Amino acid sequence: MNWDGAPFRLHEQRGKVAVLFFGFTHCPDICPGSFAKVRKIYAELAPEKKGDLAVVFVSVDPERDTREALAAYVPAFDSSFVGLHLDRDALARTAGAYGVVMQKRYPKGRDRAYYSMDHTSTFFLIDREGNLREQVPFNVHADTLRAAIERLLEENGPKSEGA
Amino acid sequence: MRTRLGLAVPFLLASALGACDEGTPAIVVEKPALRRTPGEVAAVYFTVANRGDGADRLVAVAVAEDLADRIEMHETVVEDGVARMLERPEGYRIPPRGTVALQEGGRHLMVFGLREEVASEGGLDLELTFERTGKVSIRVPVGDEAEGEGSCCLEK
Repeated sequence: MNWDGAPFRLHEQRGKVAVLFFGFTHCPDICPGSFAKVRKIYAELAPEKKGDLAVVFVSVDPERDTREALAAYVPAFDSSFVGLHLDRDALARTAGAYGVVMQKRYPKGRDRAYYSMDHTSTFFLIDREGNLREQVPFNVHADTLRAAIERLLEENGPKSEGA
Repeated sequence: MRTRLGLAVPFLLASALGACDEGTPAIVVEKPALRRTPGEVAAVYFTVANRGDGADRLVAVAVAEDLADRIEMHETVVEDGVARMLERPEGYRIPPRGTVALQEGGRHLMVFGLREEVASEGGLDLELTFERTGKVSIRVPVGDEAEGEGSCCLEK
């Protein structure tokens, strides 16, 4: 379910290029860094291309990342970004499909109220036909990720065989 | 109002670190940056340059307790695309004539419960404790309202 309460199905994004990444909101370093990178790319995209790009964040921490928590977080970057709260089974299926690893990590000793989530930090790029085409490490320069997204955006819709 | 410091001292003894006591460190903290997020956590980045000929170690960090719940030394480690955030209570060694960068995807200070008032304060005051140099106060500027966007940092 998206942060706005609407159901979300990736296959309904067909025709668009999708950037999919996993994370959690109690993450100080790379998750907001990934969001900032994607937001910069989206903000600088030509206006006519914006509608062709779906940015999809999947929380690996549905326990703390309730729909309400995601609603306070994801649209702060851009209101068009999707932020998914999945139930346990759907999350396990989705993570499995992308080979995403996720694991709770409690700090040593004292405070067990806070935990971190180990998780795959890769950007998954999906083309207009719904094929997973590229996996880009989170720590590449924004221009590298931008170039990969632009390449997929330049492919025009479902192609005929052999094109 | 921002006078008392909630000191989060790591549990291990500085003396147990057995740092090289040869030479004299000369520590300079540069390029402090605060990454706020729309959530409850934040990160602080900076670079520590040691212009002296002796090693030092950042062993403790403290934040004004009216601006955050606590602050800890962490490091993100990425292996096979999987990011893990590890506590580094032992701190960070600063080699002689060397530089240690706290930057996105690596070493960082994690701030818990950062208050929104930090924006009107214009910055977050931190007290860094180095094993040999002692205490160093820094002011970490608050970036623009573009939440989650750096003020930071490294993009490789």
